[in-house]
Parts: sequence; structure tokens; C-alpha cells
Amino acid sequence: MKTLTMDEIQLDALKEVGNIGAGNAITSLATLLDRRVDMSIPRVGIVDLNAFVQLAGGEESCSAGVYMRVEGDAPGHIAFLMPYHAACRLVDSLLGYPDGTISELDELGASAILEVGNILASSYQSALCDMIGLEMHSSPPALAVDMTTSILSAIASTFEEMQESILTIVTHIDCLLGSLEGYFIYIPDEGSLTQILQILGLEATF
Amino acid sequence: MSNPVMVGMAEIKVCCTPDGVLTALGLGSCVGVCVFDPTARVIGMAHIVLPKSGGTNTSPGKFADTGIPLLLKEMEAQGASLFRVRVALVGGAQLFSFQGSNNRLEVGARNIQAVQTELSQLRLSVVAEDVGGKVGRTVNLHANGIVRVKSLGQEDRELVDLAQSKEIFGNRFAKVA
Repeated sequence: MKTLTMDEIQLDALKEVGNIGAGNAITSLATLLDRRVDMSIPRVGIVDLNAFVQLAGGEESCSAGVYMRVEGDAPGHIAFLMPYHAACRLVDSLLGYPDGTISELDELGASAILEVGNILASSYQSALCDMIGLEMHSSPPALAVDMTTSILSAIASTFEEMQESILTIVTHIDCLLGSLEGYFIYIPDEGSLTQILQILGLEATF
Repeated sequence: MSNPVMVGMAEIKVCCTPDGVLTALGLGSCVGVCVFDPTARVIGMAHIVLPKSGGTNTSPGKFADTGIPLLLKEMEAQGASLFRVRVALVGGAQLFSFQGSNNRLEVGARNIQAVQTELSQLRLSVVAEDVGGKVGRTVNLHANGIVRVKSLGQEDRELVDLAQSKEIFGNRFAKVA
């Protein structure tokens, strides 16, 4: 079985990739909401499938997730997940309602989340392009509102079939003291990983 | 009741204790294959992620074509017989809705198809199913043959009692356009 391993320097470099991507994306979000948004230092980890589905809450928590396949020179996956309650708060903010107005995502709410997810994931991706100087574009965004593990397992089923260990770059963002939070999850394909690390001047052998 | 045994992605679990429960949490496009032998009182579950292994054998539980034979083999080792086992299927949904074509995300339907092909090659029919559609599901298979399914915003419900039922019934959604 092929297992990925990485040293500290490589992991740090990938953290920086996550920082740049998510940093750009939260700037878009802050502009959109006209509110301050904070982000964590990205967590970079190599996980197996079952750890992957626990990345954003786990168990039977419910989330809204927007997924995009990244195509081009460095293919991969970008997803933006929000807990269900946070997705409702986001819709409140976008539609100018007082916080707590919306408690269920209807069609309008869902399309608002899809659009925001689209903007955020695209900003993330364009920051990556600028940083590493590669051409990338993304597939149209797809939305799912369901159990968090179900959403992540649906994403995992699109990974390359042989892939047993998954390199993930996860950044947590929050706004309004945690009432509006979410996770960026970036998963470069293995081939892209080698390429990204090389562009950043690191030896990549795995 | 003892704690449920989690059947994670690509895992296969078999249980023979009288109060055992096998659980697959949050099935999305994955399919939970639930198998029960009423005489030997053996239950088994496979959490299938993808339809075809394409020759790889690193993780047989991940694929329909390798996972199902392995599940049955492990159950036979515990005294189950292919002539007696009853099967229920849960999962294989398509959670993501999207514009345009993106068949990377249509794994659910392909998984169901592959699981059914594999079962029919083994001459096993499916007694009950809750498959397809757009919602994720959590499935519990109890040692007494009861299969319970839970999805978001819905109460935990009994899909089938595999110890009783021989007829085929189920809940199959039309393929999402």
C-alpha cells in the first residue's frame, strides 16, 4: 500500500499554501458580509478515509458543503463546509435579516450558500494559482446539505481510486464569535502535490 | 445493549454476539451492504465506497466487486451459509446537486449497480433496500436481523426485519436527473 510521508519543512510549506488560499477567501467573505472574519492556522495532515470524514465536525452533525473539482496543471479538490446553523446565519447576513431569523435552508438559502461557497472556493483557488504560477480552473460548484460525514464521504468517493492516504489542508474560519464558522478543505492530487512542492523549492519524493 | 461496532469506509465487520449492532454512519454515495443469516445468527456489513477495484487488492473492502465476496467469506467462517443469508442495501445517494455534467459525483448510482451485479452473480437477492435519492443515511444492523435507517431530519425507522421478511420490498428512488 502506498503511504504518503512528509517532513516538517514540506508540511510548513503546505500550511503556507493553505494560508494564502484561505486568507484570500476570507477577504472576499469579509467584504461580502462587511464583517470581520478570523481564520486559524491551517492544519496539514495525511489522513485515511475514516479520519477524512471526521474532519469537519464528524459523527452525525449536519453541514452545508460546496465542492469543486480543480482542473488544470495541478488538479485537486476544494470544499467549503459550514455547520448547518452557521449556514443559516450566513443567509441571515446576506439577506440583511437579524441574526437568528432563518432556521431552515430553503431554495433561496441554498442557492445563496452555493454562490458564497463558489466565491470563496474560487478566491482560494485563484490565490493558489497566483502563488505557484500554475494554470488552474474549477468545475461548476456542487452543493450538499446533509450529515457532515455523508458529505465528506461523497467527496472522498471522487478521489483517485488507489489513494489510501489523503493529504488535506484544513483551515477553520470564524466570524461573530463562532456563530458563523466553516472549514476550507483543500486536497491536491498526489501528482499536484509533488509539483506544488517543487515549485516552492522543495524536494518531493514519495 | 452493547455498544455498536462502527463499520468505517472500506471496512467489513462481522458479528455473532446476540446483542451486537453494526453501524455505518453517514453513508453518502457509499453503500452499506447488510447481511443476516437467521439460522447461524451471524450479521455482517460492508461499507462499499467505489464500484470496481480494477485489479488492486490493497483495500478489498472498498470496492463492490471485492468487498462483497470478502464479507460473505468472513461470514461463512463464522458459520453463515450463502443459501440462508438475507441481504438489505442502504445508501448510494447523490448528495451534491450541480449544474452541468460532473459524473465524478454520480458514484452512488454506480455503486448500487455494482453491488447488485455482484450479488446476483452470487445468486443472492436483496430483500429490502433504501437506496438512491439525495440524502445521506446512517444504518444499524442488529443481531436479530432488524435493519434501521436514519437520515437527516427524520426519525430512526425500521427498514426491514431480516429474520421475518423474505419478500422483496423497498424504497428505490428514481435516478436523479
